Amino acid sequence: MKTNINFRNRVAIIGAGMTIFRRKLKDTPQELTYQATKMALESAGMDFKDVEACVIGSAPDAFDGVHMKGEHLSDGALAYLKPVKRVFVGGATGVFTAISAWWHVASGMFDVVVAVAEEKMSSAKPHPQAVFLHIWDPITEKPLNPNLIWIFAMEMHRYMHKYNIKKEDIALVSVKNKKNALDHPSASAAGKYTVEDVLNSEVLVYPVQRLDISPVTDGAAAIVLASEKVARRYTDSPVWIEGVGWNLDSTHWTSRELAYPLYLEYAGNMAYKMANIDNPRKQLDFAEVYDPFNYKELHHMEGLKLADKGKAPEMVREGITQRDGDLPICPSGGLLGVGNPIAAAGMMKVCELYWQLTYQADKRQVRIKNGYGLAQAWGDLMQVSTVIITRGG
Amino acid sequence: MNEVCIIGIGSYGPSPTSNEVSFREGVYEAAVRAYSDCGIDPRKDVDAFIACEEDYNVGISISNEFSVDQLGARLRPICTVCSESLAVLASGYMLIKTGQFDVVVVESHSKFSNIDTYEKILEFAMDPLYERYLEIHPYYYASLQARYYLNKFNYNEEDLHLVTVKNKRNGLKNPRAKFASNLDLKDLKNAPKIFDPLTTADIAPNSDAFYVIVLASKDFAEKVDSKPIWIKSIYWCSETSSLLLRDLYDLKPIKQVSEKVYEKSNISNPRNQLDFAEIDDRFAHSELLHLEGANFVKQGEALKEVSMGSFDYEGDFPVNVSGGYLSLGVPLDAGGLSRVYEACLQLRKEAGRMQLSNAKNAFILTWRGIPTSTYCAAILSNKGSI
Repeated sequence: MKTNINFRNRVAIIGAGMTIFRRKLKDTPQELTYQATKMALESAGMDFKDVEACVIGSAPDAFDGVHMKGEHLSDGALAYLKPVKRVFVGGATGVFTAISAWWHVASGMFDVVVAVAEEKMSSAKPHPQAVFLHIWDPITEKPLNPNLIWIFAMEMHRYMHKYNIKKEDIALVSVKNKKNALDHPSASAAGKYTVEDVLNSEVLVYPVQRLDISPVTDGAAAIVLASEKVARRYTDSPVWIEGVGWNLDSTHWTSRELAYPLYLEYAGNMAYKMANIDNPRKQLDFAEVYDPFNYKELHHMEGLKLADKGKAPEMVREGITQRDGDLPICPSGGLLGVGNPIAAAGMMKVCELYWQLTYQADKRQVRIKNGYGLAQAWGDLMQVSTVIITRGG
Repeated sequence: MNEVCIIGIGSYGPSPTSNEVSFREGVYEAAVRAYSDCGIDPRKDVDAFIACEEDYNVGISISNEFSVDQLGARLRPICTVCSESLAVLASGYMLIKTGQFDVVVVESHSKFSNIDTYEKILEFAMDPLYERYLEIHPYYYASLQARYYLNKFNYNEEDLHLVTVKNKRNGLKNPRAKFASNLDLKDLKNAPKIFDPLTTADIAPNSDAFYVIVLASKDFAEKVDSKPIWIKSIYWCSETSSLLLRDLYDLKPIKQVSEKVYEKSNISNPRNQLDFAEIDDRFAHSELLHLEGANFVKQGEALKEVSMGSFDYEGDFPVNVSGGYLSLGVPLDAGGLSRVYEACLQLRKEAGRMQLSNAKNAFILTWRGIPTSTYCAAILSNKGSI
C-alpha cells in the first residue's frame, strides 16, 4: 500500500477502548473518562506514564453540569502535569477529538497522545433536551423555544420532499443499524426490528418517530495515537490516519438548503485530498457515518459522495450498506444501535475503524480490500461535520 | 521544521463594559483589524480558524455554533478549543507545524459584562462532590494562597501591594489599560480587605475584550506585508482540577511549562537571555508565584526584588510593562491573547509610550485562574532565531 506523501509526520492509532453505553450509568464523568482511557492504553500495551499529552472531547458543559469540563475531566484522563485541552464542535466533537490529537502528533511536538471523549447525558433534568433549549440565537430563535428534534424533523421533511423519499426506505437504516449492534458488546439500543416496528413507533415530531432516533446515553471512548517511530515499537498493525477534514457552515441555519449537507462535502473533500482518495465509493472499504437519526445516515452518505444526491435510500434497499454488502455503512451498529453519548459516540466510530482495520471486530468484521475506512460526525445547528480517514497496516 | 509566526493582531477593547457591541460584533471588529493588519482575505487565505470559548461564559449552550460568521469562516474549517487562549494559540501553532496549514486564525473574547453571577459560574467549575457547595466566593483560595506566601517567606502584608502599585502605574502608559491608576502604598494600606490580605485593588477586575491573532508559516509570512513575530516555543499543562489536592504554594505546573519552553528555545538563563515578560497577575501574589516558578528569581525572593525595582519599567527585567491584568483587566479565557497582543506591540516597536528600548525576546506566562491548575507559557521573538 502506498504511503501518504502529504504528511511530514505520520500518525497511527495503536489502541482503542470504550465503556459500556447505557442510560443512567452510576459512574461519574471522571470515572467514565478514566475507564475508557485505561482500556485504550491497555489495548496499546502502554502505561499512562508513556502518554505525553491528552485531548478531551465533550459536548455541552450543561450535560454534566460542570463549567470548564475539560479541566474537570483531565484527572480522569490521567493527565496529571501533562498538556491537556478540550475541543468542542457540538455533536461532531467525537471525531474532532481524534483530529485534534492527530495534529498534536503530526506537528512533531508529541509522540504519544490520548484522545478521550466522554458524555453523561442522563443526569440532565428533566430531560437532556432541556440543555438544547439554550443553543439558539437568544434574540431571534430562543423565544420560540424550539428543540433539536423539531429542527431535525424540518431537515428530514425537506430531504424526503426534495428527493421524493419514502419513510419505509429511511426506516431500513434503523432496522440495519439496530441489527448490527446486536454484535457490539457495549450496545444499548440493539434489537431485531422490522420496518413496520419503526413506522408504528411513537411520533415525536412528524416525521421523526421514536425508532428513527438514537437514545439518550452515557459513556466514554478513547484512542491512543502515536508517531510512526513509537507506533512501530508497540505494534505490527498500526492504523494510519490518512486524512482529516472539518467544516462549519453559517450559524444562520434558517437561510440554508437543508436537503444537502454542503459543509460535509467540503469537509470530505479536505480529508479525501489529504488521503489521496479520488473515488471514495470504490476506495473505501466501509464507513462509519454519523447516524443520530436514520435519515442522517443517508444524508451523510450523499454529502460524503458515497451515494449520488437522493440515491442513498436505493443503496440501503439493495443491501449494499449491509455488513456483508459492497459498502458496509455503520457495521458497528452506529448511534442508532450502540447509543449516542454525543462526543463519545463519535469517538466510538473512530474506535470501530481501529478494530475493523486490525481485524479485532469479531462478529462485526467487514471484508477489508483496500484498507481504507472513514468515520464522520455532525453537529451544532445542522452546521458542522468532521471526517477522519484511516488505513490499515 | 517550519517556523511559525504571528503576522496579524487585532483587538477590540479591553474595556469594563461594551454595550455598543454584541459578542459577535466585538469579534468582528477585532477580526477586521487583524486581517487588515497583515492584508489577508479570510475567505481565501486562511486554512483554519480556532475559537476559544466556554459555554457558561458565553451564556449559550454549544456556543461553538456562534463562532463562524463574524470571522469570515463560513464553510471553512473552524473549531472550538476550550482552554486558556494561549493554549488555544498552541493548537494553531501545531496545525501549522503539521505542514498541512499555512495560515491559522485564533480568536478569543470575553463579554464579562453580560455575566450576572460570575461567582456562581465559577462554583460550577469546582468539583461537584467535594468543593462546590461551600457557598463562599471561590476567590477564598486566592486569599489562602496570598496569606500562605506572606507567612512562608516572612513578608509584611503591606509588601504585597508593591506588585499592585507597580502594575497599576505601568498601565498609565498603556492606552488600553482601563484599570490603571497612580496608587501608592499609603492608598492601599488602610483599604478594606475583601479577601484578606487582598484589597479590591490587589485583585484584577474582569473586562470585556475581543482578540484575533493570525498565525502563518514562514513561507506565507514572506509573501505578505507584515512584521512577523516568531513563536519560538509554546507549552501548556494542567496539574489537577481539584483544589483539595494542590499545595497552596504550588510551583509544579509553572515549572513544567516554563522549563519546557526554555528547553525548546535553548535558554539556560531566562533572566539574561529574555528581555521582558508578560506574566499572569490576576492576584497581586500570583505574579510572585509565577516569577518564582518560571525561575526568574529564587523561591521567596520575588517580593524582595519587586521592592528593589528589578521588575519595573526601568528595572533590569521589566515584568508586565503593559500594566498586566491589574491594569488591563482579565478578559476571562482571552487573557492569554491579550498578553500576546501586548508583547507583539513591544516586539514590533509599536508600543508607544510604554515601548522598551531593548525588546527582542518576550516571555509570556498565563494561568487559567481559580479553580484550574492550567498554565501556559510561550517565548516570542522579533527575530527568526534567538
